[in-house]
Amino acid sequence: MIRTENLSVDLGRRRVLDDVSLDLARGRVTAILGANGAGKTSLLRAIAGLVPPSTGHIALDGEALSALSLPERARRIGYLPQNGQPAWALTVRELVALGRLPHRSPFAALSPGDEVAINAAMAQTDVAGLADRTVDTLSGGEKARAKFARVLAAETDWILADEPLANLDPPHQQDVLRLMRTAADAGKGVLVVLHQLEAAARVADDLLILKDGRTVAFGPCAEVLTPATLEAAFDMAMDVITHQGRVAILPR
Amino acid sequence: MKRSTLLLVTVLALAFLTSLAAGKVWIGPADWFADNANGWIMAELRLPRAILGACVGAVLGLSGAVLQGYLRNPLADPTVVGVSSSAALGGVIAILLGVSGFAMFGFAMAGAAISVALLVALAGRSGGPLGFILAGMVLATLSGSLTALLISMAPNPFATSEIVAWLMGALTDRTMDDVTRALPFMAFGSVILLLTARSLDALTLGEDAARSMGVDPDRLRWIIALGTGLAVGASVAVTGVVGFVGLIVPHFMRRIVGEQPSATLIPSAIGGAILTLAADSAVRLTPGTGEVRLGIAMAAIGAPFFFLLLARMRRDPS
Repeated sequence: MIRTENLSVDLGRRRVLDDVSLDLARGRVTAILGANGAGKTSLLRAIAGLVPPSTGHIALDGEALSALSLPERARRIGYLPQNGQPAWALTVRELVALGRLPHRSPFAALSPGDEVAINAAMAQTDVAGLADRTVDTLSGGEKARAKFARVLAAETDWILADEPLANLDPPHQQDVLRLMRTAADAGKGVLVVLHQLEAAARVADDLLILKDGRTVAFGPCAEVLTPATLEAAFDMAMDVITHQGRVAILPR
Repeated sequence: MKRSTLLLVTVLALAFLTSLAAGKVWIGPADWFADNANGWIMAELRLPRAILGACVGAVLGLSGAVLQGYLRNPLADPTVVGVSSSAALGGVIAILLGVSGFAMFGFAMAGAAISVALLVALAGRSGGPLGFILAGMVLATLSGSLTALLISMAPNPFATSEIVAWLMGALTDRTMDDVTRALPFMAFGSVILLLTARSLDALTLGEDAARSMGVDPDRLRWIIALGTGLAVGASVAVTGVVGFVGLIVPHFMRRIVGEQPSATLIPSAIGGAILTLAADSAVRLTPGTGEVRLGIAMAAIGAPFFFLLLARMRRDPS
């Protein structure tokens, strides 16, 4: 379980996250929604240990996050940054193998266990056939799946993903949503920043809606996704329409 | 061992043997251990020169690969972080003070050490690669201008020409003393640089991703500054500034072994040694009484290559 208590984050002199308290359970997908600048990425980065809290604290399974070493944290929380374009043209296999770094001692070659995790992650994301292609030759959808495979290969309890659907067409968005759902069903905790409200409604068990760094609403999808909370978060009137179990959100 | 590594080691061995044999006097293997003038040239001149050439080239290639990996930029090399020019400044001060040998080596290493300390201090905490390269450029500019100032203040033309010649970088007339002085620093610095391999791979996905994979950016910055300072500082201390090796070699190696940073480190070291030995053999074979300085020869080869590189990057922005 990840627990944040009265978590605030300052960037420079600006408070980007203000007094956010959450309990996140494994086996669930939690989507973070909100307008640009609402603090979604800052929350994700704070939980990933990339920015220190200004006040409040974060606990992972009862242990303070700040007390864990970087490698220990990396073995338990996987993080998929926004626009993480690889700087070098690695092969897909090399990219996925990066996920094993926190598990390996310096200079040690990949162990059989590492190989199993890498192959499983590539199979699950359907990139095994691309193993020897370099990432600069992949399409957007293939690249997104390969990057997701890297996080899966790390075999962490948690996956934090920052806008993993950005620049993907609808079928490839579906692929990534399905991967997150599968990961949660396999017992991982998935925390994902999304801009696509309908995608969030489709994949998430819980929603966290932020505005100006503060929590507007947090809870099960059906309870939180209402015209009132959406209007509070986005300053825009929207209708939430349920059709055959699926949710459509229409601006008024 | 991979086939590409085996091939590189073979070429390195050939380059080393050529470097021993080539020069104004060709010395065949039969004379290498002979008790005559050729044997003496081999033991006192050629052997230390070849060893230094291989080691200097290796640390330049290695540090170039590490810096390109760290800065995620194929245009980085040891000269951009200011260590080379600071070590050179130390050497210039030594020449002006009239000291040589071990003392001069000490001055150059002190210059490198000061630059490493300044580099880490200026780059600051969580400055990231951008802070690192900016700090390095400030240092390079500062020590470059101080060097120019000292040259202009040199007491006589002889000192000026000695400084200028030293700055151009050469392996001429080096002795085993130079080898024993520099080798421990280069070896230690190289081991430190090799420790960064995994972290450089992680950095391929950006700083946040690397940190989330357990890489400590502050520690990494220290390690790279220290390793570069020791290895490149020692190389400058014994040969002056030899440019372009650290820039060019990692590019060739990426074509051969792929772009994963950790995979380029050792091949870049071997490739750097090959290139330096080959260039140094070539300068010895140029006709005429004098000898082209190694630094000049390297720049003459390197500049057109650099230009090609830029042209290629413009054609293929990925």
